[in-house]
Amino acid sequence: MGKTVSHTADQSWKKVKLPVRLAASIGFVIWLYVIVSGGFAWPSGLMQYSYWPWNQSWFMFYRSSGKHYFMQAKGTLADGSAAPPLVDMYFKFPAAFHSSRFNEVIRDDWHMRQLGAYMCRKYNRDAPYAARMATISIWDTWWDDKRGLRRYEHEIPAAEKASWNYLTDEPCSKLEAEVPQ
Amino acid sequence: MEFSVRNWSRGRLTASYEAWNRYFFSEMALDSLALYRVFVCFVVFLESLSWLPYAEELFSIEGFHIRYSFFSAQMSPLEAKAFVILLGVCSLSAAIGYYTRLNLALTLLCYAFLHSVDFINEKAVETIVLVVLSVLLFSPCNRLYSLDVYLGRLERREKGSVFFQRLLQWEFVQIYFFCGVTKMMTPEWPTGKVIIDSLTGRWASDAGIWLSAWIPEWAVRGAGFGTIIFELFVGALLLTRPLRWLGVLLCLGFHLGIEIFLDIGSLGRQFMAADIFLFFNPDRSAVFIRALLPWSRRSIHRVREKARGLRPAASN
Repeated sequence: MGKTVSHTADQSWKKVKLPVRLAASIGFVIWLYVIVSGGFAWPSGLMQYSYWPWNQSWFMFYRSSGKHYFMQAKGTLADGSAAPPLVDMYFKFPAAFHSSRFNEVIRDDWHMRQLGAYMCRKYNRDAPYAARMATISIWDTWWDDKRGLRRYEHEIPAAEKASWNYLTDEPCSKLEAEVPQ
Repeated sequence: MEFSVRNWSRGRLTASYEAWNRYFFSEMALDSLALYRVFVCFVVFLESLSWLPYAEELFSIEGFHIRYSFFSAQMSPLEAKAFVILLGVCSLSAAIGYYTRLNLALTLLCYAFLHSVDFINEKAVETIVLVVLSVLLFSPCNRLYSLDVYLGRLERREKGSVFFQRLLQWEFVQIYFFCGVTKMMTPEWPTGKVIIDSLTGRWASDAGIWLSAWIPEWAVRGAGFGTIIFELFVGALLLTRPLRWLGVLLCLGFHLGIEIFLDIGSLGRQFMAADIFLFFNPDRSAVFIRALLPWSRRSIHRVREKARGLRPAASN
């Protein structure tokens, strides 16, 4: 007696037309090639061969400094008095613990000047002429993270902290003229 | 019997051709893909709710943005809020399956646009969701567990080509694998330094901070090394039949751990949904899902019967 084999499930792929199968298969192979070549290219230093959006998903927690970075800003008004806390006024979204979007901005000169211009412009738009912000400073403070502790900036002894100034009393007029709105 | 190389190679070619087609285009149950759509869209809906109070800062011209791309935040605060509400409405509609394809397209457009506006707060999960929504948009995920079917707008289809589910499987497998490759090339990972830094850093949850206080050094190193091994090889487990359940269990444990010890938004939830719904055999999953959700079959059957009863008799 011959063995009866049901091909119903096995042959169901034939319901998809050949041109569709061909196009989908070629698309899949190209897609896989782009991802695989990009996936190996990036860690090999050939970042130009890895493509968005896939190259954004490979670097989750791939490195860490072990330090807590805390960027701050301070404005000085035309009369020499201090402006109200700028970061708290304009950055409310909690990006991480004790860290707003302000703290997530890339630390380089171009980004810092953009940030400075934004805060000057935003503050001066609503302030009366005599109370306009004249200068702005942006600086970073960092300290080592400690196991089992969350530490705020004011709890860290001065000896354990380091800092770096990105903008030091930079005139708002200069920043606003330099950075397009 | 005479052996012919030509016949043998032709036979091998035909077998490979059939195997490829079976793997990518066989008809399989759509239950798991449809439920995956429900979950992904619902997580996007929750994400839009969390953005809503901050829409002005995140997406409007009033917030700080870096203009890297063609898109820039030119929306007023009101428009930004409206856009986030639109994303919420569309993603919820896609989740419940109301005009599913249209709402999937709108969800994808809104999500991509909002993602392009806020580069500062860019998260890996957002690019993953964009890829997933793009695949779901063209898939038959709207043919089950959707209001479109319940209301009779679309015909219920229990089976469809498995191609889109395969695409999503490979998408997640490549993420695991290349995350592993990247970590393998980073000297701080095998030593566990990144693990302990993450547990004490600004992404750590309270549980993560607590764990970092007492976790021994050998466990930290083991976790670092283990993560690399896990990410490099879990894709192979997920894609092969005998150990798939082990792969899924490992993935669920891995992401549950991350969810507990780190505070990184919806990333873990999206991965867990993918692990649960995408990797098991769709036909077997369907049996399990239908056993868990018998109401879905009964209610659809009831609606159909009712519709049949109301339909005027054909005049012949």
